[in-house]
Amino acid sequence: MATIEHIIPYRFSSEGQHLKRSVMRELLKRASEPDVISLAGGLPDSDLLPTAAYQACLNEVIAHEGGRALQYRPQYEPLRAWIGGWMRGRGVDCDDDQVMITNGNQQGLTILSKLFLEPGEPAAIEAITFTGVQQVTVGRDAHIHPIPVDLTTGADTDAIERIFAQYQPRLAVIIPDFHNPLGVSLTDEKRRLIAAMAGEYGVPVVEDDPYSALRFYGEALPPIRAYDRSDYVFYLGSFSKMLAPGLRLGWMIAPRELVSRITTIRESIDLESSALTQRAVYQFVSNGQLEPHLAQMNAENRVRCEAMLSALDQHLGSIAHWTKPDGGLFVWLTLPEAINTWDLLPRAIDEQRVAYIPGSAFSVSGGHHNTMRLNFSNGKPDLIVRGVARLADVIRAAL
Amino acid sequence: MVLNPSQGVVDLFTSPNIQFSLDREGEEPIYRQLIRHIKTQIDSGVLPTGTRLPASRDLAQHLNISRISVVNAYAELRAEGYLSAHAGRGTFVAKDNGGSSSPPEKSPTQPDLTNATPDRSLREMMRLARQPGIINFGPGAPPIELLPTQFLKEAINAVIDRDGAKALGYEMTEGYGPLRTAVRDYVTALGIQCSASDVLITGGTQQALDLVIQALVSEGETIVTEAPTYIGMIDIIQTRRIQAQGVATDEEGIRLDHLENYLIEHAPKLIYVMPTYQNPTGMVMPLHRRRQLINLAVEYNTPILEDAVYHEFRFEGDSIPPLKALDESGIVIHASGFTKMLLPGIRIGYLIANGTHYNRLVRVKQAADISTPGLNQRTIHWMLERGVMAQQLERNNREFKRRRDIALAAAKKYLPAGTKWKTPEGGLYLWVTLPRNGPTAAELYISAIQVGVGYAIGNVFYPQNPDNFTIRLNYGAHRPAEIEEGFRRLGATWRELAAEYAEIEKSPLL
Ligand SMILES: Cc1ncc(COP(=O)(O)O)c(C=O)c1O
Ligand SMILES: Cc1ncc(COP(=O)(O)O)c(C=O)c1O
Repeated sequence: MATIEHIIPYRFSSEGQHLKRSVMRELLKRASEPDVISLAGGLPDSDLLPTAAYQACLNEVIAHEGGRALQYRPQYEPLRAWIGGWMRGRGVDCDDDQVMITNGNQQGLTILSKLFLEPGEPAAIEAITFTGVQQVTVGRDAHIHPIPVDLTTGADTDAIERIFAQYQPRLAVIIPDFHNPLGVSLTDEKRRLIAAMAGEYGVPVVEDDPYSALRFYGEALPPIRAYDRSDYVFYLGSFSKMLAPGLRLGWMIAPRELVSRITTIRESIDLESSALTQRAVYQFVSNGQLEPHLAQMNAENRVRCEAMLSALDQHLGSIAHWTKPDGGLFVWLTLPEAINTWDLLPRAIDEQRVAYIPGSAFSVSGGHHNTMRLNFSNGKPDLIVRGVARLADVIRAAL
Repeated sequence: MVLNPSQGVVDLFTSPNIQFSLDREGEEPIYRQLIRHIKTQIDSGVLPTGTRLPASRDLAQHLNISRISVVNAYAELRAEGYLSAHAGRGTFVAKDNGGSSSPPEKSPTQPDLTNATPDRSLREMMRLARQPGIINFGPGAPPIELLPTQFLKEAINAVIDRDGAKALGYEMTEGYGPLRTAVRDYVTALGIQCSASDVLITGGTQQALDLVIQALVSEGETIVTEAPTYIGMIDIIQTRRIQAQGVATDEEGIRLDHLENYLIEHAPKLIYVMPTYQNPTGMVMPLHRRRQLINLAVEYNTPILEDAVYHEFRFEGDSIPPLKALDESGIVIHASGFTKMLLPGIRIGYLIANGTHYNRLVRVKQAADISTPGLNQRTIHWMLERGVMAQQLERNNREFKRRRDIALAAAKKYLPAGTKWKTPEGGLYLWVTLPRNGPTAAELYISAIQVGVGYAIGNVFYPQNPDNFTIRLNYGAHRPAEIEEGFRRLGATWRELAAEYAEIEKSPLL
């Protein structure tokens, strides 16, 4: 399973973590055996990827541009302009030349960490967050100030203010929509507050947003960056979940003053993103194929999410609680204190043939032993329902 | 707002005191006039210290003059200490003329760039050659007309038809398994003993180099490079804020006596070399020096990073195995890619490294960008399987040899007496040292570009102590007629400038 690498959490520092990582790696290898129902994934269902449409785009580009699409090339302007328009459509005040193409949000995170953060300096990240965020902060030996996250309204803005005022972090990272792993989204009010605090305290806030386009309920909210008047919010967007992860294509909205500096860093890191990929993705979006693709995928994800939530209700309603996402890929499950989801995982896989990611894998400062991340996008509804039932059996047996 | 250091900044456009009356018809070049005007205004205090000047593009537009004039004027004023450049923020008046304001403050969220980034004005200048109509020998790209476009198209479709959506998912961080095996087979043919588990696929060779620096060298630590060296490594050095010591080279590559002294005294973390068709000099390190270099590295326990992107660009001379093929102790990390050889815009490179190095590299790669695009990896794999690359290299090298011969003939015919170069036996580049009785490479550049020819100014390739009279010419990227014409223009421009210089030197100092 190609996703194993990507979802395995690890940290650089302690040997213990490494050990945990290799154990997990082994477990997840077994989780990819065909009779295991995996709720551990982190991707849209590959059956829903627009493979044929994208192939047609590649062919069009090669036919029209030939070698020019295969050479060293500067960032592709039409794609930057399209992204600029997309961002302005979401309420962000930016010009096309503030759009910088990246190889996905992970690269954006790395670049901004390199730009602002030195080892030993303070950084603020959510207390439970995507492991890639930890890699560019914890992994660079920053002094971490974890931001608590409320499971219905997102990051705790009072805590953010305290941390910003007291420690002046050199960098903060927030996942605004359909949080990985929590599934929660920031309220509009919190977005406004975070934007204001970034400017007021002079803390560069990275808005790491791979999921906002994956909404299946409710109205889209503007990104934090839309409320930013100070140029302290750095928005990262990605085609990984909107289109396909293997494209490794995303973007950053950067302040004008820093564009050339960031370009220099980017060029030193890997020169540029594939010229062909940029052109093919542009072809796809400018053909108007993105919206129907998203509509179809989100409709399907919605059905799968509903299936998961009602199965949770049915099997674990009396002993657990969980987040109810309006989009994205994940549900965060909290179990009774007596359950340790790390210890339970081998049994879940070996005996019940169901896999998940223990919540503590995402926890910045330990704890959360009784939580787990569940993914609902990777299988058809009936499979998900069966997966949850198996999970409930493992949990009940452990109580 | 700290990112915008605008307090106390004079607006050069609207300030009533600012008058640029440029004489467009006159003898004095526009950029000289601009220099004169700006100097006057700095000296007279109209533009106080700390004033931010408009971006070159904006000023050029405003004054309706060419951008190169503004860039040249700024560059010269910087050299004379009138202006200072702060990357990311612009150009400021630096001259202390007893005025009131102080230099712009470093803003809190801004990394301190002043010591991390040396003057990039030469690099900026070189961007100016990217215009239609200019025969630009500057960039390091292979020629577009030789790219295997048709094969690529076939490969991509075959891969998607075969793998479907799998080709669009996250790939393993280490790389697509079959491609790792194919790379193993490919480097084995070059003499390198390794297994597929020693292969890490990267986003081009550039990322391969950057990952090694991240994994092995911490901020403030030092590496050794050849002097001159690959410009992309100089970028990495600046971005990662490490130190680089350039070690002199002779006919056979990096000088081992100098290197050993340096290893003894400074215990650097890494030795970075391009043994075959070195960029920019085109030199090849002979076998005996390769062995000695490895011995030295082992003795001082200092890893070698071997950059082999041009290894297979051979059209003359013997084939010499890469360092990694001679390495028995795992001290060499080998970097290369299918970019220059095959398809630059598909961005597939690789590293060959052993055990402990390898594990660290994978971790750094995962934090850097998770993995390299799977479809691109699978496409390159498909092409390797079908021998497209071998075919491509053969075709390229035949053509590069032809172009090299034309370039050498043109150099003899057009470049001034006293110009020196070594005949390259492979690769894309001719490395030239101009006679010292004329303009420097940077001075010549300004005029050259105006007659439609560009090149890489040699200075940019030196970690320190540049040779101002060196230039790098990528003959491989141009058709024969362009090579001929480009060299002709270059020679003519040099003669014109040299005559002017002689004139100035002869005239009495009054
Ligand atoms: C919160 C978050 N940020 C960043 C990423 C990495 O995204 P990309 O594929 O764009 O590098 C992920 C991927 O799972 C994610 O969940
Ligand atoms: C010596 C050397 N190494 C590495 C590179 C980077 O090449 P790429 O990242 O395209 O593989 C180049 C390109 O100019 C080069 O000349």
